[in-house]
Amino acid sequence: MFSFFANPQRFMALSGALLPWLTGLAVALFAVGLPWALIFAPPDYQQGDSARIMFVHVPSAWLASLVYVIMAVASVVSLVWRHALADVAAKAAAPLGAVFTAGALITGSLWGEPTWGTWWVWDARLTSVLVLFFLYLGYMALWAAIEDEQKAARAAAILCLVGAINIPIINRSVEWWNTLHQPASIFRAGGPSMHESLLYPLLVNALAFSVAFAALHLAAMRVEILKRRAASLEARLG
Amino acid sequence: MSAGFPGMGEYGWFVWPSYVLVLGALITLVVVVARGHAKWKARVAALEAEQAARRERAA
Repeated sequence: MFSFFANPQRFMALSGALLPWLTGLAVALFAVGLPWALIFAPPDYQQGDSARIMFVHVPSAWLASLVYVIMAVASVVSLVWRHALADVAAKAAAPLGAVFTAGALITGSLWGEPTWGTWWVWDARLTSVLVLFFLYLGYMALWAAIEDEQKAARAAAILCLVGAINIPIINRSVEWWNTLHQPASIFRAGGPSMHESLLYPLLVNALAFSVAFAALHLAAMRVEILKRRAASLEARLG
Repeated sequence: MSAGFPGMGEYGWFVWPSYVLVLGALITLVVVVARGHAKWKARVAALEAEQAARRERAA
């Protein structure tokens, strides 16, 4: 099935049909999720209204890691099977992942000041997410630095796979080290520790961010395919 | 119902910038990607038209 969709022409047709639906779904989910987060969700009993930052911080942080996992999977496919769309998928995802990581870091800092009394602390979770941000920047810089597209794809895929070791470190950092950042409160043994009145709007916003990412990723992949098609036509026409 | 909207008292200065920043970044991404898509779609269409015209002349 993967080989079937790895054809750029088939991908353009399918993504062109999917994009309006994904965009509409993302807008609808945000239309529900944002007022729920800002107006209808109750303030946290300890943190007050500052806990509303969670509804944009947590989805950004989830996507920061998820996008890197998608890039790592695409890098394996690119290196092993050399599918035409795999390095396009990884390259198009990187700037989106960098933006979500920056969003997670900055909103985390804005949440840290009223909650912990500090904008930043060099604990394992915050530091490993900062490393993830630099990995995204390094990956994009590598693509930009190598002119030959195939060599760039190979080098970037290797860098991405080496950097993937950071993902389990981010995930487990709050358990392996003594951190100021709280441990997992949703995906944990025994179920979520969060009250439903905060959990449901968080899940709706997380879904909104994820669908928005899916739409943006498909659109960014289409841009990359069009760029490559233009380059090949220019070379042919002289 | 919460009393959080619209000012959120002492926490407003932390909550609002978070939403403005993240949603602003998402909107910027949408604009950048949409503009890039329109630009490269037009470029490919122009090059394909040129290629077709050359083939026609050659025939």
